[in-house]
Amino acid sequence: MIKVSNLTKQFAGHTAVDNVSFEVKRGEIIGFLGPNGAGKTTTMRMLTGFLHPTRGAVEIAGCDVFEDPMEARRHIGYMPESCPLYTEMRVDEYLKFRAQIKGVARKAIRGRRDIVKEQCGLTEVGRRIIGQLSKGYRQRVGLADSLLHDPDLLILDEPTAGLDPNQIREVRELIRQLAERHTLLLSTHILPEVEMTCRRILIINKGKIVASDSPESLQKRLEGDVLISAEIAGDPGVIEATLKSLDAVDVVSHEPLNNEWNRYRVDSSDPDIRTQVFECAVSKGWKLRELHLESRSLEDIFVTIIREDKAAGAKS
Amino acid sequence: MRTFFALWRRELSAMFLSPIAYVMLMFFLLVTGCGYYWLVKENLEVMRSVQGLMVVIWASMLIVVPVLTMRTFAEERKNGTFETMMTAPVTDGTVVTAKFAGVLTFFILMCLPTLLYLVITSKLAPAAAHLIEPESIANGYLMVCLIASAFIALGMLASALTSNQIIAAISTFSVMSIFFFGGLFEPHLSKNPIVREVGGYLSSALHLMESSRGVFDSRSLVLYLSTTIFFLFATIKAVEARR
Repeated sequence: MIKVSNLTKQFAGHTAVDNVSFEVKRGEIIGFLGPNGAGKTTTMRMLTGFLHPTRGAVEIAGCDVFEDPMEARRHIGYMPESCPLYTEMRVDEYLKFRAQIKGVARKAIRGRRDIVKEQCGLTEVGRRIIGQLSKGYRQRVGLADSLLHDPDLLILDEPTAGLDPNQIREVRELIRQLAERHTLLLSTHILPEVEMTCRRILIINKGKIVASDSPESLQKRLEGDVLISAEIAGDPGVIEATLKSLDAVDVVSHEPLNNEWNRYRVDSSDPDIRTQVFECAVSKGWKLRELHLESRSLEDIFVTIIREDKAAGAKS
Repeated sequence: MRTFFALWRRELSAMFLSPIAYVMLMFFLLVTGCGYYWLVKENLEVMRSVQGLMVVIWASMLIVVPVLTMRTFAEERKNGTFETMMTAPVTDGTVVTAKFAGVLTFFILMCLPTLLYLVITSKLAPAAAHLIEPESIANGYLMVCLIASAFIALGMLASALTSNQIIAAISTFSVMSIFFFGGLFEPHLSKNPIVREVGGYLSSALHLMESSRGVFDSRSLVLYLSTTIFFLFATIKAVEARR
């Protein structure tokens, strides 16, 4: 569906996207992650043909985006970051206008408009002026717009940015429904969102793809490196020092709970570190009330991968 | 063609959906109305009524055109709607020409009520009503539209080069001023024959005075059409280059 080869974009003085190549198959749902300024938006803008690359090529559904832009754009539904709309228009007017310029057949316009309004929960607000709608509704109008011509590929740049938790949940639900029928590429900062919706993750840092895999395999990459959490009562200084002296323990940190209790987080390369901690607590006579293995969240994976990349960059 | 009309309609309706259209109409009718009254009252010996009207429309263009064109691209760029527009399957050329057509249509709509001035003059002031002839009216308005086209295209180029509307308006105003005042005063003030000659060719005021006398000069037709095409072409290139 998407084939990106050696894509590079240089702006005056710096390289925003550096020799990026990846492929996306039909029906995939891809989460596009990266810190601010990593080149996510620039990459997405090049995929849609809005920006021209310094080097490299993008193919969407077999059409070269820069050689045959009109045909390629017919396959793409794109919602830019911050979801720009003509705020002085009514929702119905706007969607009609967008359908017209997207080349939806004259007779089909009304039908398509009603379908996307239904899909995005806009049926009630068709007559409202976009400028008077809340951010969540505007986001839906943007999504409805990107769906109007029933594209094969949806590219959504931070579709949930700036929404309240309730609206985020609604938009996420909507995205999940869309994922059943479209190939989807979405960028976001909210990692649980990706965990819940995406089957593959692309992580970009400083213009380069640093990871491309399913969340599960990325998790595996970090295995052998476990994180446990233990709640122990007693002098935190002593306990932390003792835990640190255990075999295979890399990092220990603690946060105070109520009274004498503290929660210790132990980072270790030994998958069986829990027994050691327990035995240690028994032999020293500490009170231990909780001990569990923490599963790595996508957030940890993300932070680790970006950190690894930074370290590699510093070495070279 | 369908996308062209959709974009054209959107451009035109955007103006009527914002206060700009109404403020602009009020300003334009006020300035041309007062200017026309004064010119016709004081200068009937040297100027026909139609000529007077064309000259006041021409003068108000200096303000009207920069204000109408400043938003065309700069506003879209600032709001980000430029991105949604340019990722839809429309060519740069269609967007530029549709926007141009939208602004020009608005300008023509704005000029229509000024026809009433001539009607009022011919009804109420027989002394000033002589020589209000269909040919000179048609010629005069045609020339006004041609001059407006060239300057609208110029204004759009300025708007495509920046995302700041004020900068777009002031640059348009500045370049227009050179044409306006250069063409208006220089031919009469300068002793240098070349300046007088060139100034005379470029003077839109002179072109208007001629055409609203009923004399149609194809040289000015060529001048304004080619200028319009040149600036539209430059605008398309500017839109492409800013990617």
